[in-house]
Amino acid sequence: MLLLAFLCGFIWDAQNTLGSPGGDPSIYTTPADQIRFGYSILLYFAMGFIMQGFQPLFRKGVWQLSAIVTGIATFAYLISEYLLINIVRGEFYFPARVFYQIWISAALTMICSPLLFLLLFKLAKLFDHTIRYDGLKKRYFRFNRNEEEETS
Amino acid sequence: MKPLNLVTLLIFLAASAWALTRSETSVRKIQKGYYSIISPFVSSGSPIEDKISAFNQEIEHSQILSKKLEIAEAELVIMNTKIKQLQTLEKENIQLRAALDFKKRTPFSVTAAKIIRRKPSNWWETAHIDRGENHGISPMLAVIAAEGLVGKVDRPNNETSTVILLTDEACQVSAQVVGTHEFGILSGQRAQNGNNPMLRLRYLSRDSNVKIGQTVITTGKGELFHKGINLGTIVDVSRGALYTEAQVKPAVNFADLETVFVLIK
Repeated sequence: MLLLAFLCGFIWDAQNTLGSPGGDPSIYTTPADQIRFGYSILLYFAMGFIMQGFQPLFRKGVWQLSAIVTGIATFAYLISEYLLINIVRGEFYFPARVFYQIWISAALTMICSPLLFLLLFKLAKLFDHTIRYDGLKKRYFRFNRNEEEETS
Repeated sequence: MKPLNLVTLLIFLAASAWALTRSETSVRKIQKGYYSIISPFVSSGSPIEDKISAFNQEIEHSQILSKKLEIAEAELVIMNTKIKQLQTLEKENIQLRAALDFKKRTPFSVTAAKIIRRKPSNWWETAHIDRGENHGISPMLAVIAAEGLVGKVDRPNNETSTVILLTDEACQVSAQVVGTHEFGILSGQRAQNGNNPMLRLRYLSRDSNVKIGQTVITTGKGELFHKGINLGTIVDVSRGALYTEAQVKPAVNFADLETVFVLIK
């Protein structure tokens, strides 16, 4: 997850970071400041951190919750990015269309994510692969084992 | 936390700190490397986008035709309007030829470029053009269309360049209202989208007498843009306690932008 967060954030910033505004500073006295290169890595990390928490359920095949969390994480990412721009550039400005743009993006991600999950499950099945997750493995399987013992 | 997880987290934090502390020169090198890798894919993606766009236009055109059949009585009026539009196009054609002849008439040269991709990201108004360092493009060069200013070059790569459009908040232009001594800074507005973006002309004097309908042009000050490039028309004026601000409709139709010219110093 950390590697993916780093790569995605790095590539996103490489695509979008703008250069210095240039020009005579005596004329352009209030240039629009830019967010530092690399901030997206931390935002992707936050998104991945949220998603990671729901991985035990995802492994069990409960993809619905992960799909909802995908939308929530995308919403959180976009709103954080926009708020960062507001903080850096000043003049807090949050029109309704920005909120609309953010939630539409999040909703579309949420709707499309099951397709990706389906692909992941298909690929895992095809290659007989089990998605490993060690962080909560002991606690999770102990919980399941206790449940099984109680039912038997 | 397991030692291995802790070490991984520390490596991640160190890598993030490394990325966050890159200087602008380093960032430019990273971006250049990245774009040199993806450049062939960006160029090859463009014809597909063109085909999709042409298909959509074809559908729209069919709908217009069916409407025309239904309202046959209004056809004459439409035809007359079209004749007027054609006359406008003829004038634009002459202007375009004049723009192409810039090289002979001006001390700087002009390179024609095609917009190959508009970036779909949320908060930045940028576009890719099919001209780069190999064609003499360098950062901060003005990009114009026949109607007026389009933006400036932000990042030239070998074969392509990224242009920051006038509709982006980060693209600021020293501007003047024609027929007055009013100067201000024109820029795009934060997070605006859609086909009718508006520009902000700030820092006009408090008692400014600017009016709706007046034209805004570049002043030539600030070392970025040449003097007299058309920027747009004032559509709204609001007077504040310290200065007057105007809303400007851009001269260029950013929704239908295909060919642009880069002014090479």
